[in-house]
Amino acid sequence: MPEGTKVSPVEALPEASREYGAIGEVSEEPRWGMAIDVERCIGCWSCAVICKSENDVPLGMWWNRILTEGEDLDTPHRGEFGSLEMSWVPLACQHCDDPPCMKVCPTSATFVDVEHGRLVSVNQEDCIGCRYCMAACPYGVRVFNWGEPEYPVEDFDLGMVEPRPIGSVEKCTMCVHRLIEGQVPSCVWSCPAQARIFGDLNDPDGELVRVIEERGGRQLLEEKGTRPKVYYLQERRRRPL
Amino acid sequence: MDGKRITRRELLAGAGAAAGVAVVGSATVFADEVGKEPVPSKLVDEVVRTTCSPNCTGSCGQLAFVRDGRIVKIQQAADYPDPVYSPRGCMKGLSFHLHIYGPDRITRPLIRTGPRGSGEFREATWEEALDHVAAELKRIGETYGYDSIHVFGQVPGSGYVHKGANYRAAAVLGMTHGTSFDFNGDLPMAMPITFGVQNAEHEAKDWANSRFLLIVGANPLETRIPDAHFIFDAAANGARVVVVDPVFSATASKADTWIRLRPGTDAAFALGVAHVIWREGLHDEAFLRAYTDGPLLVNGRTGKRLRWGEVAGEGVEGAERFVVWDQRTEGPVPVPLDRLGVPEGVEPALTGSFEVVLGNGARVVARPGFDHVRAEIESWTPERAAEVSGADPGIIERLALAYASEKPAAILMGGGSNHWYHGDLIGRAYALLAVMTGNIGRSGGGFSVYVGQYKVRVFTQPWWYPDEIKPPILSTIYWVEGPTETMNPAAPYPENGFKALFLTFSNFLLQSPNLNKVFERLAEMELVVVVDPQMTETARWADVVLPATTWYEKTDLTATPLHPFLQLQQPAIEPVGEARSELEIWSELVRRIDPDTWRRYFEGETEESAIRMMLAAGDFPGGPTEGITLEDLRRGPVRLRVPDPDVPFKAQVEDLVPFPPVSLPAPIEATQVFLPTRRIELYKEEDRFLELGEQVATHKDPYDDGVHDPAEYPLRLLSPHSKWRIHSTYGNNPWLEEIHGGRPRVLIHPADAVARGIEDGDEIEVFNSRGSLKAWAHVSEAAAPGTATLPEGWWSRYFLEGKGVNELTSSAINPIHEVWYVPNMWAPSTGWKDCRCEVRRA
Repeated sequence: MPEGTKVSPVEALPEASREYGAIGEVSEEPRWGMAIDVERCIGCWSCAVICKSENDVPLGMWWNRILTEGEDLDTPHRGEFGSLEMSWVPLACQHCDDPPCMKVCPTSATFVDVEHGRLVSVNQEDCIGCRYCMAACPYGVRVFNWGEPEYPVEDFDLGMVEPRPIGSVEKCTMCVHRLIEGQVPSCVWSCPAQARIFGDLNDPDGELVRVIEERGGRQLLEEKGTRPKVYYLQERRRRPL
Repeated sequence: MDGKRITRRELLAGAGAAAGVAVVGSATVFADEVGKEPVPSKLVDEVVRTTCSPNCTGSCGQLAFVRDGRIVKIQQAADYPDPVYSPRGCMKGLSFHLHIYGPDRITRPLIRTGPRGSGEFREATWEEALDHVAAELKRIGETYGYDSIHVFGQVPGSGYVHKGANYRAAAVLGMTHGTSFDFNGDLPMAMPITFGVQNAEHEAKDWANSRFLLIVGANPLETRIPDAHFIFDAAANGARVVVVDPVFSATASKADTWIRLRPGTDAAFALGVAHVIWREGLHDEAFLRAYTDGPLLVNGRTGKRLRWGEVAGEGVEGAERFVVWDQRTEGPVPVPLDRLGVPEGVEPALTGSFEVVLGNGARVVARPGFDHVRAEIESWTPERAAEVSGADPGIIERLALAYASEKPAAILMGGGSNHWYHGDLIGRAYALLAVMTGNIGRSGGGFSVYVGQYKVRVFTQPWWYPDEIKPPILSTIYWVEGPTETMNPAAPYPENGFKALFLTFSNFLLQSPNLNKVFERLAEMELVVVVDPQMTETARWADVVLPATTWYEKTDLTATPLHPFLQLQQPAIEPVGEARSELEIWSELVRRIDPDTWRRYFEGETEESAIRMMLAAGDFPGGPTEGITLEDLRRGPVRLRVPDPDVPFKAQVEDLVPFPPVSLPAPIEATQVFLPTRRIELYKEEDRFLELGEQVATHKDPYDDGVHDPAEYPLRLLSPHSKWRIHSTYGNNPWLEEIHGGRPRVLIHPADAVARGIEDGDEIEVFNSRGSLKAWAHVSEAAAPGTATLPEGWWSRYFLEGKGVNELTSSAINPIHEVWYVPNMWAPSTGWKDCRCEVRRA
């Protein structure tokens, strides 16, 4: 193993891998967004696990998790024999264009980062842990760092970002640390079902806008007026025998 | 930590101070935030490309991100030259570093101090542990014969070098090597019986080329996660997806139609489908004539096929050829053995009954092989098939019409259908559908069984079997059951039985069938050695535990049935603690046992030399590794020299090359005997098939019905794979445990629960005559009535009581699987799901 010199993990990637994760062409003022294909989601939690790994999220906390519609994790279903259904909704920060969490933050720790694709970001060091934002968020995607974080591996740092201070609110950053290095968020990279499409909502010619239009992407709790930048592509129509 | 952490405050110097001024709801506040630059990723030492390969068949390229000599993140490499295969890799592989550094990791050799299973060990030096193991192996070898040592490593296909080291050591010392593919129940015996091969499946990307996917007894959305998207790709291309499963699975939830069967009744169901295809004339007659034994005449008196010598007189040229009935000349005609197809100008009959005058003047009534199939399927009306299987007769009709007309159509079969005592009959019945409709050898079609990472895709012989010395290879089920009366004489059961068990990367004492019998056998062992990176249930029972390197700490060569890329495992970190590889361990043991043998076969051998040896052996025009070098593999995955897409039986169907193609590492002569006709065999003429009435695919009730009275044990116990584990690997993963809750639950139907006074969440006992366990009830409509479902692989520590589902499973051997003996190819395949039980409140 080489000693001493450290490099950016993006620089260290094999070329083919770096190409796989590269953010394609974007507009002059990108507005980062995502589409999640509910048809393709198989509820495997790979996106959630890589999020936990990438962002060094402690035990007991998930920035990204998979809601199972129905009663249970392994056999999530509705209905009775003949009409059983199951489906999953991957859920993390929706990066709203009109974020209710920001409006209630007394210290402006939460802000819309206009320089970085209008992501909803948290200045962790300005967070005073009042958790108004958690109450205000209709999606329930913010988590609070109550105490000394616990990790499955104790004696060294996992992941690619610094852990957050105790007593602050955390959430999905859209892997902005990766975006600034030209790479897609880790959940997009790691979805084995290829259910996540990342891109620029301001680019009318981009794949993201095209797929949202073609597949009729929907926003969660659209009626709340939060204007999420995450869209959900609906399931296909079935052709039963 | 790199010690150069840049704080947000530093980054914000001069710009960020205004951030505290909140103007709620106003856009102007945003501008104030300009300048709060996000921090880029933390730096790393390097990123190492390797391959994740537990026993899942994924073989997913992974990147290990290394900081300060430790893996801080694992993420898919996503670097496949064929981009449809990227990214590959699931939540389990992404969290493997938690095992590399987890609390169950073994870092030093351990020697048992308390009774077996007590978990009492003392740490030892390698020197002491190796001396001890070598001396014991030598004592046992010299006392009882080296063949009384049973070496067992899981899935050699996932590591040709190190799992190959087991074979090499067994070969040069004469130890018995066990088997995993058949012992794991994954060997689909329908394949050697019908197609003469160990197994042969379409590469996963070919699913997307199908117009119709019939997924039976398989749940690829949970158990083939990296390849699941190909099913969606097929659907997006307009394919219909039909899932046949007793349980409402994730895969069933995404299907166009889900068909619930009673477990173990697939053959009746498939024969009902075949009935409709035949009745409606939707079968492919030309295919049956050209590629199958369908037209070959069977002597009505003996049940054996007629040979040309019997008809034209012994001594005639080509006497060994088989015979068809030519409808033009109304007489028998021989067909060549060295080429498929139909002889020029001949119109072979597929059905009917014909009087043939033999060379000795005798007259016999003969029927084409397919006429026997016809008689069987004609008896399986949709109503009869429905009565046995529980499927709706109307669905059987509609499935048959759609499957036979929406082409190409693929059948994807999994363990749910294969893991039965009569799994061969089930597989033969499904294979019949693919054969009848000509869906063989065509992209988008096929009958593919995806269970087990069995596939040897390179020429391993020079590494595994040096100087062509092969170890005795015995199906491990015989270690459990002892030699059966019907055991094929070619199976090398040791003269003095087994006295030692040497396990590498195997949770054998949790994951073997019929555990209580396994533990009886274990008590007969004078030495139990476990080589494993983790303190598994099995390691707890060892006399000596040797700490193994994981696949992030060594070099190996891997491939899988699911995709055709050859890949390296490359060390990302130094071995954790004092862990060593199998090759290092065997080399040290052999050196101690027999220095001369060591000098000849192990001295100087490295992972690299082994890989070069195997690559070179297949590096010839048309060879699997033609032109592939170790240096190529270091740069990334390399597609093996196979057709694109990799579709089995293409040469047979397109170029009329006789069946079977070779099944590595066996020589063709070993597997050719399975198919004397050199054609797809729908009819079997060997005595045991005739005695048992299994000449053609038929339905038989599950075996355990004869062991456990259904009145006393009314539930079938199903033990499918869980998406949260690869068998028992990842069973102790803390991230995954947060998701699934860490509580083994037995899925039962509300009607069965009510009848037993059981409510969801109750503590329950699951039991039969072989064993019992205590866990929690999960009552749900997703279960099929009359079943109890407990995914296999839970570590014992999670149960209320008992070791897990294999306390109850069966190790019974089907004598059909003993007609021939080629380990892992024609050998007893375990029927995990063929198991009855009862459930009560604990």
